[in-house]
Amino acid sequence: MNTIELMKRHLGQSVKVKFGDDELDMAPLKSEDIPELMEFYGELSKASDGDGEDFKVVLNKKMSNIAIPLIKKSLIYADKSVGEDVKTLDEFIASNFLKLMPQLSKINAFSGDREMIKQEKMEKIKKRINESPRDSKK
Amino acid sequence: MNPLEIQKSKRNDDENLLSLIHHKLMSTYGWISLGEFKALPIPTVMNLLEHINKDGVKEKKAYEDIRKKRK
Repeated sequence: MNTIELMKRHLGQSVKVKFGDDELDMAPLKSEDIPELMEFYGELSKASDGDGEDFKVVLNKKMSNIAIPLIKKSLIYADKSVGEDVKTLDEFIASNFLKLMPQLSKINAFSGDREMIKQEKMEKIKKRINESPRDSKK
Repeated sequence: MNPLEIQKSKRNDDENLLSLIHHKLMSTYGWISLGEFKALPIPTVMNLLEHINKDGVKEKKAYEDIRKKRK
């Protein structure tokens, strides 16, 4: 495999979602989908009061209406043949929506770097607090 | 505003956002065709924008340092 092919393979890599023993690919969305994804994140931030189980409770119709086409696109980008049977695809998304939706925000993460920087800073602050003179006096 | 107008203004906003990102990438990396831009994965685009912003901050800081030295 030449370098360009290798680079292409790692550009917008898909993520595997497990369904029992089976695995399904979900690819990141493309930049033409940015407005819809922003809308999705907007609705998500409005609707989420908490994490985990609370998150499921606040799912609303508007958000699922935005998320379903995005999930559909993500599955089709990973494997074009998926789009040939729209009915099965729709049924599959509807019955696995709660499993697929978190993956959508995971593979299209906006600010991975920023989060890492925040974490690093937090670690440094914690370290500084632990090594502060107050502790050394004791 | 009626639903049609809302839809139209939303479409305009979406196009503006995309052209803004496209412009920002092109001003840094040179010509990128629209088709090529639309096919770029979102994480790649966002990482590139973040790097462009970081470079911008660094350049601004360096410029400020030079200005202070001159004074």
